[in-house]
Amino acid sequence: MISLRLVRLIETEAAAFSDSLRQKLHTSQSAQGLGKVPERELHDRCLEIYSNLGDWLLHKSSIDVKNRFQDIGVLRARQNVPLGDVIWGLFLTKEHLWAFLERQGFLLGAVELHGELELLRLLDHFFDRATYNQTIGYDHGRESAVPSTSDAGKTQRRKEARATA
Amino acid sequence: MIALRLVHLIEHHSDELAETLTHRLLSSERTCGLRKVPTAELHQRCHDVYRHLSDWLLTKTESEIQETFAALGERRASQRVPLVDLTWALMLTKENLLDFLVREGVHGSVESVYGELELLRSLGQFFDRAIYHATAGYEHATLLTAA
Repeated sequence: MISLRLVRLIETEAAAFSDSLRQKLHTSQSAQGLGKVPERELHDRCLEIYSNLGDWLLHKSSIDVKNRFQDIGVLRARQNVPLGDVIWGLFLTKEHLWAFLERQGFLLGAVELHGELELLRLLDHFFDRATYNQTIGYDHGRESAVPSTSDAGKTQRRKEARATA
Repeated sequence: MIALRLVHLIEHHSDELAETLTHRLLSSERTCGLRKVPTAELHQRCHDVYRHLSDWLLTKTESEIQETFAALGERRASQRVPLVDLTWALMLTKENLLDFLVREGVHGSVESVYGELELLRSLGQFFDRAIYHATAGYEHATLLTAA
């Protein structure tokens, strides 16, 4: 059983988490390209994950994750944000949460530590799938900016046939 | 490092882990692009990570991780492996380790919970960097080819 107390704590503090994450994104050399994304949009994306963390981890289906993050990938490609920066942005989003949970871990008893371990595994699983789908979406966005060829069509169909993450 | 015992357990079983992973990579639909890579090369890559896991997690610098995985990204681009297949393969390399710990009965035991927390964090950080640098290498190679 994951630590619902920690999930609720993150959701309650979501606005503060989003603000501090955006500062990290702005100062990170590896996420520099995200400077092309409007400030408001970046804020909303951070908040969207943190304020609904329990939903993302426990209730949303793999199709929900696929649709949401492929859409974001398409958008970032159209905004000309380098793919590495897009990926690093998601990793920082996870890392920001992990750093918080690590600090909390010092305060936990043995039972809740197990809950934290399960939460970390779920987070890792979720962010891997988000990254994977964002990369697929980014490829689609990039391809749709280029005149389609029969090869591109085949690639597109193959991607669509893939199982959802 | 509290998790060192777990890391050594993984290194000790690196042959078996590399074998399992190679099979998973070649049979998964999400990594079917890796079938273009010679099996021996794929197996050797898997083995290198597992056999030297403590080095990767504790000793190697950021620039060593960058050098190795950017080169991997460039190589896969030259082999025309789709980038998403490479990304999923690196994620599967981590997942294969975690599945192994569950099979070994390590996951969730009271004695190992601190070690597992630490290992999960270290593995997460290492594989995030590996994916980031592999992507950068892949994108760089693709740009050079297109130019």
